[in-house]
Amino acid sequence: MAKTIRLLDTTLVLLPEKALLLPEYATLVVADWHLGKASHFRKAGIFMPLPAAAADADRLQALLATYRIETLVLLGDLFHSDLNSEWLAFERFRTANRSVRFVLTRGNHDILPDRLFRQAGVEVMPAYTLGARIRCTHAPEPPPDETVLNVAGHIHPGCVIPARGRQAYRLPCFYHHRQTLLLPAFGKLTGMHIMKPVRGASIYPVAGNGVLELPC
Amino acid sequence: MSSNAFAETWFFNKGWQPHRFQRDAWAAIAKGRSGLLNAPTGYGKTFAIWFGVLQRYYRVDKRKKGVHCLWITPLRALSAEILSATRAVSEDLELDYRIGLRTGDTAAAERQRQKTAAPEALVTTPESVHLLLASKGYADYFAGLEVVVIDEWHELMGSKRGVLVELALSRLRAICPGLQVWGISATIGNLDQAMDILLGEGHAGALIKANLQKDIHMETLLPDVLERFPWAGHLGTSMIGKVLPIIDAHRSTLLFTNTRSQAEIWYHRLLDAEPALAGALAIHHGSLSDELRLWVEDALHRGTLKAVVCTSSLDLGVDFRPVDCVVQIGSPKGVARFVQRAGRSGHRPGETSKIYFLPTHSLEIMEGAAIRHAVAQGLLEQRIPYVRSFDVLLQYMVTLAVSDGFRADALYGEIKRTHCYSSISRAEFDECLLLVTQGGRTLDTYAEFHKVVVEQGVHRVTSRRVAMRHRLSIGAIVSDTMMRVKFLSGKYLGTIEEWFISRLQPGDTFWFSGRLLELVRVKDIQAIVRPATGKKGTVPSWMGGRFPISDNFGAALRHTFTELHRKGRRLPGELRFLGPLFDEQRRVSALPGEFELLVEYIRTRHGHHLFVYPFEGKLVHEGMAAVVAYRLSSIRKATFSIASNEYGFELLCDDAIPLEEAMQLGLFSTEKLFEDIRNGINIREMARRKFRDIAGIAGLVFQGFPGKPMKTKHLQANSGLFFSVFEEYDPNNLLLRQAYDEVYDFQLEASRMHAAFARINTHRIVVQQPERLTPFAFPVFAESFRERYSNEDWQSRLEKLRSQLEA
Repeated sequence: MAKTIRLLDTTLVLLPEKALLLPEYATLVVADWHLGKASHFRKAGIFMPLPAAAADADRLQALLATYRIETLVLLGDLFHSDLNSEWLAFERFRTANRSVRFVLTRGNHDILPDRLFRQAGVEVMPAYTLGARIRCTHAPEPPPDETVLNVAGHIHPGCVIPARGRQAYRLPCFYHHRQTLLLPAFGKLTGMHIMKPVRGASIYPVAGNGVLELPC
Repeated sequence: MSSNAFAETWFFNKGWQPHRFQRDAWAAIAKGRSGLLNAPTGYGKTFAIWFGVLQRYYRVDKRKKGVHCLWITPLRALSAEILSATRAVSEDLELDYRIGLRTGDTAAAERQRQKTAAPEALVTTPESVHLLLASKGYADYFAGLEVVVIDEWHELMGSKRGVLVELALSRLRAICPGLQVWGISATIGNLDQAMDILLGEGHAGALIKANLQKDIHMETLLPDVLERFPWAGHLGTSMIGKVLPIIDAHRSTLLFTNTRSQAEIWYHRLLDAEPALAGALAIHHGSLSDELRLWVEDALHRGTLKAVVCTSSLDLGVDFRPVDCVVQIGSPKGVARFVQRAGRSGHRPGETSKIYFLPTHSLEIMEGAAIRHAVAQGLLEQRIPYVRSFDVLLQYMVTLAVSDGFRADALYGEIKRTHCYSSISRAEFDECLLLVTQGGRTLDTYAEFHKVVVEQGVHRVTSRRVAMRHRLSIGAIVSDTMMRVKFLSGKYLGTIEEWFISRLQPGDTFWFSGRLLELVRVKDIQAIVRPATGKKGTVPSWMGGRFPISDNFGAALRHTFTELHRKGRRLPGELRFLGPLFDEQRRVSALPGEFELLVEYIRTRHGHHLFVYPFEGKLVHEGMAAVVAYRLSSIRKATFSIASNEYGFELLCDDAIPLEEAMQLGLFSTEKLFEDIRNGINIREMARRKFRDIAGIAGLVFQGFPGKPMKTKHLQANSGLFFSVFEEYDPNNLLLRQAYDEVYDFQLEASRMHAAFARINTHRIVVQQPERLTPFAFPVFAESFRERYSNEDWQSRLEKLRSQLEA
């Protein structure tokens, strides 16, 4: 079950696949995929199983097949580090979705040269704006006024939900505070940063195949 | 008996008489035998071995230069002590036998010197030996090695550092046939096994016992009024008034606490209570900087300190002659540990060790009676060695591959002869090989994995980066991400776990290394602080270092109940003092006998409580509680909160607990026990936590080069991520299985749990339904630890969570 919210007259669908759908713009936003991480580790002699990488691509492919999407915004940290063979898999993924525009707002991990992204048909820019209201960046950049919403990644937000009986769950989440909406990391091979509860913030944890909303 | 000329001369010059055990050891070493020496500290056990080593060396007139003896100790502080003692002998006798020190602190220049002009003996640690095995040409370096001594083997044996020792010995024996191996160990419950592990199966080693009985004077400090003493708690600082006169009356006192945070608290409370102690009181624990610790140790030697508040960091090794009194704050936890701590005072032959036990809450007072009984009966614990530690084996394979490489068949033959790996199969060994050469079983043929390569049958590391990274991560002690605490000036104070610092804001104050500090800022892995004024601050807690009472001590505790029930006999002082508390327990509920199990069912406004008191220690109780909760909830679905302490456990439930029905169905039965453990306990979460160490040792998690964190930033991932990924994509991974095995063996102590259930089955079960919380129940209830238990599946939990959230 996705969670639909409205901010600044824009519909935002928080998907349990850890992606953000903007139906009015036919745009899907995905943050912090960290492709190539497993191979990067393996190159350094650290044995991380490889198949993990493919599962993320399958999940994204399913989203592209389900919703009408013209633009895919990759919100930075698309590729984890130096070039490795997982890039070939990404190129195949790109080719299979020729009709979709791929935009990358470069993240701190994206150290591959622009040329590679261009050759693969990925536009690279520091920030990507939808209409006049939504501005997508990798690291959060709080907007100057209240007419703009910054959609960002980088943080890998997660939350701890205290439940009855002193039990706690650690879940990835969407995190909205003032003019910033943070997306959970899309890649499987990523960690989590637990957000401190702040007055006025909304936390939307991803639990299994649902997105919840925490009462404030 | 052959005589040892070196020893005879040296002892004669000193005007000393050798002990019988020393002569025995010299004789055995002279015959070329291996063995185990069982002797307490302070009786010359070092010399018992050392003169044997010297005699072995000089039996041959001309030798090639090179290392003749390796002396392995668990502690750097102890290494320094051995170094000065043995060097003094060489100087006194004007021998050309040189001794070098090789630990993590040894400077690069000195290490280089040791390589080109090796001293005759190297005093070192298990990690440093492995580092030597990771350097090229180590076989030549050790070609002249004749003796390896493992000091304080009892300390190493129950840890993965013991496995490092086993592996190093297996390699050294292969290089040097006829190698003499000598262990030195304090008395433990399984001394014979300790010797077998060191010397290998079918050895003909000598077991030499010092048989010196050390007198221990032990006294429990009792509060003035029982009624005002807390029923629960763990600080004991209300007893400070009892401690000050003790410090005053002795030359130098060691105050042992069970946790580092407790040490910090006691340190500043003592200073508050007696400001005159300033300058004469110090603190010592494992998270403080080496500089500070060495200063404290040195001051203890010189006798300039009145008292030191310390943790197990001062349990071992070095003797501080001026120390004439020890105070144990809080439960002694184990018999051997208590004896060891007592022995830190009055360690010269003929002197009596003096130890005061300071209980921190009422019921703990009875531990004084229990420990006295246990010490008198010599109920010393066993040290359980690790077996099948694949993480250490993987590290070791890479260690050998980094230096001169290894051949699979030969290596398999060597490690099979160690105790740790005697049961691994060739298939398991091959899987380890596969992990280091190909990164595991993978269908992919991407040649991107790069660690160990095979060239003409020899496994080697060819990448310099891999080699360098490996050398930096050799060892078996893995800690949490530690923040280095520093002053603005750059002066380094020690380390604190990252999670503690992450909860602080700049400006917050906390107690550390006995000072009140203010957090200025956090930078990378450094917490920059400045001294703060005032009295208020939080005290950090460290995750490690919490240990439960041992099986032997649990038995001793239960035994005190026999004394309690025995009529017309003088009770030990502790039990007499606790009389009113036991009377109250008897009045509102019941006082169990040694062979009875007390169960209390109490209703309060919090819900329905079930208290059970097996006196088995916290770890075992946590496991037992989960099993009992599982069994109860298979009668009727329910969710329990679990709490436990050293004496018993509590299950708390919203609804009535079907106790009677459960008892009839065998609530404490051993039938299907392991199945119920598997079903009832969140073993996955426990394994996940165990995996942190394993991932570190096996080289999955890399902390980064000192001073060069940027280079490896893209190689950092926490062990939890690896755990999840392995679970999903490589569920049969050896390291994953090891994590579960370690949970069963060490965390749950599954065999101890089984023994406890079996014992209870022979007991009469006394069920009481008191009106309110009893003296036994209250401390359990007060335990902050709460673990939720539920057998409802994830989906319905999610539903529950959702309804709870949306309500």
